Amino acid sequence: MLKSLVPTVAAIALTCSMGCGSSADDRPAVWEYISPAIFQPNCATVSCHSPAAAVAGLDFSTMDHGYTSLTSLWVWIVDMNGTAEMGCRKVNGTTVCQKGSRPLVTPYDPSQSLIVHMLRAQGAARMPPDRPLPEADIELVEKWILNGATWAGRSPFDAGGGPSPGGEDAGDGSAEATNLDGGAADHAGASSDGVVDAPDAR
Amino acid sequence: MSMLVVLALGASDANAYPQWQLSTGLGRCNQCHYAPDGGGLINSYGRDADGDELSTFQGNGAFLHGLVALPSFFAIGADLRGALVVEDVQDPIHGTTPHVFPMQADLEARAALPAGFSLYGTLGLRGRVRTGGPFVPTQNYQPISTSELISREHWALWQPESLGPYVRAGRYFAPFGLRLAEHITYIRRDLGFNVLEESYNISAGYLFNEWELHLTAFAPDFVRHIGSREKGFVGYFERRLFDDTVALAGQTRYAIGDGVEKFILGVLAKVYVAPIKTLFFGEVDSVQLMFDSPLVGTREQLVAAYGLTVFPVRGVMLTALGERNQLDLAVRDSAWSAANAFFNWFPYPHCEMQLVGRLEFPAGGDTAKTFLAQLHYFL
Repeated sequence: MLKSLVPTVAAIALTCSMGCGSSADDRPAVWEYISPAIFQPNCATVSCHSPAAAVAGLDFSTMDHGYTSLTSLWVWIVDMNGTAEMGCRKVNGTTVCQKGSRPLVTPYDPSQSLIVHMLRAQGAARMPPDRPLPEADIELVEKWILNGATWAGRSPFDAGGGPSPGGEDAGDGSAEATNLDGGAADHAGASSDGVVDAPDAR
Repeated sequence: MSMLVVLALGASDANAYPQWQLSTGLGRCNQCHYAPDGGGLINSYGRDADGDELSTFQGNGAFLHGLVALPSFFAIGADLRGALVVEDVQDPIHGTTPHVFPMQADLEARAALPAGFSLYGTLGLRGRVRTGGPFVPTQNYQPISTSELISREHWALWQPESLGPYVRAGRYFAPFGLRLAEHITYIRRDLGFNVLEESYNISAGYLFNEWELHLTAFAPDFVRHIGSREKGFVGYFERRLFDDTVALAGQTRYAIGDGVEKFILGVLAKVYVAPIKTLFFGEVDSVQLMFDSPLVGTREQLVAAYGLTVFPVRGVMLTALGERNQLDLAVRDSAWSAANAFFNWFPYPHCEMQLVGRLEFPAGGDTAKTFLAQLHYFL
């Protein structure tokens, strides 16, 4: 078997070293493909949007976390009028509440989707910051957004409800201050307007 | 911009240049390294080679340049790297500002125990962690570590002799591929061997002068969530020919990830041509992506690297490397190509300077240009 595999792989390599396949893109524009094939390998590297770093609160290591990161992430935002009944709490004397952030995708409208601006570095910081994606991959993401950016019965429009009061705490103190409002997510991890940097709770 | 720094950095284990294999007249990596498949801390033979044969001006390659003699059962070392990087990804926000930064700070230790057993571990710093404090997006919460300390490798080994069987268990990269030091190459980054993606493994293998076999089962770190998120197995077989001037290998990797299973079949080759002091090498991996969703089905990916390293004078390596990563073989424009040039100079034992130039071409996308200069010192 090995004797047949080696020349087969070598032949494929020789054929494809300069590019093979069709110019037509027959890949399905669905999150079930986009997450494992594009977002997980390109975005969820250990020091970036993995569970270990979750820069800007974004975690693309799984389909579920990635979809949430793009469509319905909640963030802790300073709100001096917040109350415990609203699910808010005081941290170092400052009242913060969980609120939905601006989604990175705008369903049916790629041109208004921040993630597309980032992938193309158009008015936003380049993502991924070390290697631009092939145009075909970006177009596939756009097509998915154009189709409504749905996944497993979920839609970006589902995000409106926000978190339940007294949302889950970061039990071990691990956390990430996040605000995606007002432009590109700050991939350096610093806060943007309206978000208090988390004190080190360790 | 600091993200660029973190992404571009994070060195592999030091001293692990696969170019030394064959070009030094040695076939097995474990002739210079404690690990059965090479990489990491070097043994006394490797230190002697560093002092006598691999550095331009020669010297003492022993621990602390020979100032302190350690007992033979115990070895320690350290790796310190600093770098300057200039990266142009045509980013209108961050531009191309040069950055100087620490790249690696790792301590390494190895202790030999009776009956062929040994323990090995490293301790160092990682570039980015989740910040401490109570602000975490609830949906993305996971119990993860916020410590900046990281042990890239820690493993126990049973290997009675340098030739023969071995069993190893712990955290390390499974033996696979060319094992280039540069983690940004597609054969590392896109096949599960990116920086800090070491998995927890159990390996068994057999080393012989003419061939070696490594079989590994791997799983992710479920506690700290640092490293590979896949589980599966890896197989690697290498055959050396013509007085250790040619090495041919076949390899496979099966990994279960989130939403996809990946099955890799690959081949690689190294050929050293002594009269022109040049090592030719190449690796091609065919990746079958089997998606969980029937909407997607199975797709084929191809990842390849090919190049040559010239050793013009003692202590100098010049490497040219081409790369290809086609995410889908049926879609020509779903690919990156890259061209790299590396200049490595080892003027004295323990010391290295490296210059890297890299051009990366995503099909139809914006070209990325990277220049990196690093200084490396190891104890």
